[in-house]
Amino acid sequence: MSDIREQIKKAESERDRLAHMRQDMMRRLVSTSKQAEATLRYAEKELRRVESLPASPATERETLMALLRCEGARNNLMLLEKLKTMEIDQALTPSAFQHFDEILARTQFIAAEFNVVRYEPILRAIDAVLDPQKEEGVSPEKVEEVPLKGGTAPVRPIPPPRKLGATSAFPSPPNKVGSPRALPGTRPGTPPRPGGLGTGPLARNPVSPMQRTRVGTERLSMESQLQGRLEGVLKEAIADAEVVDKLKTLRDRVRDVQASLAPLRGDAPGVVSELLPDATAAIRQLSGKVYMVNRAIAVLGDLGQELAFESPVADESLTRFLQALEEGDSAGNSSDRMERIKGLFRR
Amino acid sequence: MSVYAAAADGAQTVRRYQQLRLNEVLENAQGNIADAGELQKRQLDLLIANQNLQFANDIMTLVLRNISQLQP
Repeated sequence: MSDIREQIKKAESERDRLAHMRQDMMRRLVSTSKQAEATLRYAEKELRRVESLPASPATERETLMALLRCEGARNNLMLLEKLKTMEIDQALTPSAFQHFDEILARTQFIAAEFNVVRYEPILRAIDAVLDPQKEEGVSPEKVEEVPLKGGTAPVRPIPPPRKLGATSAFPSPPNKVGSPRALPGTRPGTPPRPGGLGTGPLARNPVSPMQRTRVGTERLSMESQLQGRLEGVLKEAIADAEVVDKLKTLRDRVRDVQASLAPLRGDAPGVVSELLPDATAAIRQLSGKVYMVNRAIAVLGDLGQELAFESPVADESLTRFLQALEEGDSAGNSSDRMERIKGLFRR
Repeated sequence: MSVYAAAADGAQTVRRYQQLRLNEVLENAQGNIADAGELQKRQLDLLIANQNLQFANDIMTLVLRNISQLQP
């Protein structure tokens, strides 16, 4: 007697705990709804933007993505609204579950379609990296040049290097490209001082004639940048020796996903349950569990009535209850949970 | 009082006592059955609430994953 009462007290404290969890869930539901609404607003804005663009293959893909975004965002809101109206303390009716199931199947369908559309450019990009020759329509001329890191000066065509000691028939104006740079402390056109360059810093650290010209300086700067960049790339390549393998693996995985999702494109959402076994199995398992409890509640109602009349526990009711559980079990429900419930009634 | 009468009276007393005891046991049993029924009902209520919360939690996780996927 006291044992049963203790268990009832435990059940009450468990109920309090669940009430707290429910409050927490409602808070999360509100914040998730806000996120879902923001996503929908963004999706609708994006859709309006792409719809205003002139028609082209590129905008067609963008429109498709935007439509899917809108649909997915609306679907999310539908799911959340359904959760808000769900009575946590009561078993869901099979029809409510069917509705949930349909929305969830639709969610999976949208996600699959969205991924197929989104993965296409990723695949192309990976293909372009791994195998540029196979990438259609991409010729070496079309490949955009990557700007040099840290290079701020505009790149100018580099003339052939001047031969040392060569003189031009036409004297260049001072400080022009190709002319000797005016040294500090000298006037343009002033002949060199006899005895060298003097005793200034340049004389102590003489520079080559190439370095004295602007073009030469730029060229050296570019060469050093190129060398630096090359070294950087090499270092990265050495550090990430598995990058190519990773990319290939990623490409294969993406292609697998695409292949498994391809049949979904354009099909009715109802087909999803057959084509996405993993996702729908989880949903069905959830549905089955609560459906089983739903059935149990119906039978327990009869059982409770008989208990209320202070009659001994009717074998017939108990048998019917266990039968209901067995039916639920054969519908693919968790056998552990079944055993627990059965144990409750076998005491 | 004859021996037979005393025996009959004793037997009557015992029967009355047994009846009272039986009634007490029956009352206790009925109380236990009622408590057990109440316990079963509460445990099933808890099971339903637990399942529903789990279900709601799974769906919210799915929605959050969808939201992150749909965002740019």
